[in-house]
Amino acid sequence: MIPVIIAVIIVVFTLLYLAPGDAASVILGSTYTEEAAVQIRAQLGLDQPYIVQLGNYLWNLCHLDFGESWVSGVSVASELSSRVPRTLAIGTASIIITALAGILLGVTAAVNQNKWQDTVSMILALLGTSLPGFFFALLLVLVFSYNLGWLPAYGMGGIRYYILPVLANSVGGIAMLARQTRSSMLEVIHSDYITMAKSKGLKPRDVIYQHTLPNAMIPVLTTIGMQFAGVLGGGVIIETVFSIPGVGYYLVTGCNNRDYNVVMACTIVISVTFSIVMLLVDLLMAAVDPRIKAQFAESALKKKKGGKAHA
Amino acid sequence: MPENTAVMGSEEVVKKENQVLAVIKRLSYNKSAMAGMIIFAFIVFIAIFGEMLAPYNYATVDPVNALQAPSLQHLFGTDNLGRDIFSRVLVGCKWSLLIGVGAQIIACGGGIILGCISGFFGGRVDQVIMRCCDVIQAIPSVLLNICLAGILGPGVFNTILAMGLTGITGGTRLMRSSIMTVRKKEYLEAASSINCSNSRSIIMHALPNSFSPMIVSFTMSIGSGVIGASGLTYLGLGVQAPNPEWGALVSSGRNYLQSAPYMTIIPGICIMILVLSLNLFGDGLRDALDPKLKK
Repeated sequence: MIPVIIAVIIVVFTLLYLAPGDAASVILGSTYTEEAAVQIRAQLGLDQPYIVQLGNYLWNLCHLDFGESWVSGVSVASELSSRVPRTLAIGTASIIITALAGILLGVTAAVNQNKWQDTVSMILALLGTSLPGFFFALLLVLVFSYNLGWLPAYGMGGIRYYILPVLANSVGGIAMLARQTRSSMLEVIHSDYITMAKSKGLKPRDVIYQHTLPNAMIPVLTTIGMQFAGVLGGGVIIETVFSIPGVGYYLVTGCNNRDYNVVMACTIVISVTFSIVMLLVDLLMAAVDPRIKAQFAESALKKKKGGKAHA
Repeated sequence: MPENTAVMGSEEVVKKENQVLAVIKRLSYNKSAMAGMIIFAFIVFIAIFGEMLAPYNYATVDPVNALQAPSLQHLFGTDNLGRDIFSRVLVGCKWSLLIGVGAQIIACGGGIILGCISGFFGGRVDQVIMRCCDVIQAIPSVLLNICLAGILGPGVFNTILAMGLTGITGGTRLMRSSIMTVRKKEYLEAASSINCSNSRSIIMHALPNSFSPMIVSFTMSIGSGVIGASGLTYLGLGVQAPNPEWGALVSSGRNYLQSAPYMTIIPGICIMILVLSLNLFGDGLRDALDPKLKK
């Protein structure tokens, strides 16, 4: 995982290094003169070769130093420290709601295959995948803030301010997950051991939640992990819709101002979070499914053997 | 899929046609796929003839009639500058579709080339390409879109490029895995034994036999491309103001959400219908191309 993270940092750095746009002109704005620009480039080390700049950036990252915003001059790390918790809170709440609602919808559909519950769930899921997240967010604002006046339309504050963003951020994931859960439940539901569980007189509830669902869980877990990318990425748009000062909103402002230090820091923070989550999902899968654990052990054994053979 | 494309000569053409016909026949039994196709055909029709059908000029500003609710004169109402939303939706259709399709052409084109190389040759080339994909896919795709769009700057073509480049990794993986399923087939061995060059083996023999997942992915991804592009536009990084792309219409309505909700809702529903039709059609296409999958 660590090589991947370093590679991601290098890719993002290279992209922004190659990008058109000049730090000096962003910092100086209307007071731009050639001498001042040269001075600022020297001060930021931007006149040095690519490799040196990359090395400096990586070295500073080791100290959690993301540099300063070119526009406001504020340290990016201190901005991030107040923004990351908000983004993580929205992401975590969204993924929990996505998982619960998606699995429930998918299980309902699979258990009542070809009945009205199945049709309704699948139509809902299809609509959910066809809906742009920010459009759904605007609809929610229209209904719950403007028409009903129950919840605030934007800004920060208590828990009430998080309800609409989290809902809006979950809808796409719920739809995807419901479809995935349904199809992987249907694969398991006709197995012999399910017939066996039914025939020994277990309650239908127990059959579903203790025998079918755990065995259908692997593709579902993978989808949940992948959805975390959707939630983190979609969060960028949702934060903008609701004016929540999180990492995503910061990123978008950075993009619009061509403030590449900010863009780089936000991208790296979100990507690293996503990599960590994917690692956790892999570990979780090994914990849920003994077959995967066995596979890991086997491949480790093979590597050992292979190493000995070479030696 | 049967391996009849390896058969040489005129017979090949006949059999190929049969195969396409069989897929179309299976597809025609699927009601929701047909519904999706009809809606999509209608949208394509609007995209081509929208400008002629529009009752007003989409860019004419008419402050006297600003922010009028839908009526018979203005079917979808008018926006804050008095422009007829119905005309703007008709004209904008072309742009939304262009972005969705254009981005997928880049994504699938790049994906097919890289995926074929990776899957066909295997070994070190494959390793390198796959590790690159791993790294790029560690960045959530929406985030990469935003970064690329921010770097490239706004505009229709740059939006297409940003979306397309992001999609290449997914296309590469898909193509690689489907090429790998046919890699060890006898007809490829036969092709190489009659001194068929690698590029010819890939293009004439491997690709046609492993192409169907790509078609499905192409169809389905146009929809997600349209959604992604409208998101970028909403953030101010995609298509710019005077262009009536549907995402731009939705985001221009957000400031009038309370007083004129139709400005946001109508273009949003249009996006939804477009994506829905593609999803329905794509689902049906997947079942039709691979009957084994269907339960």
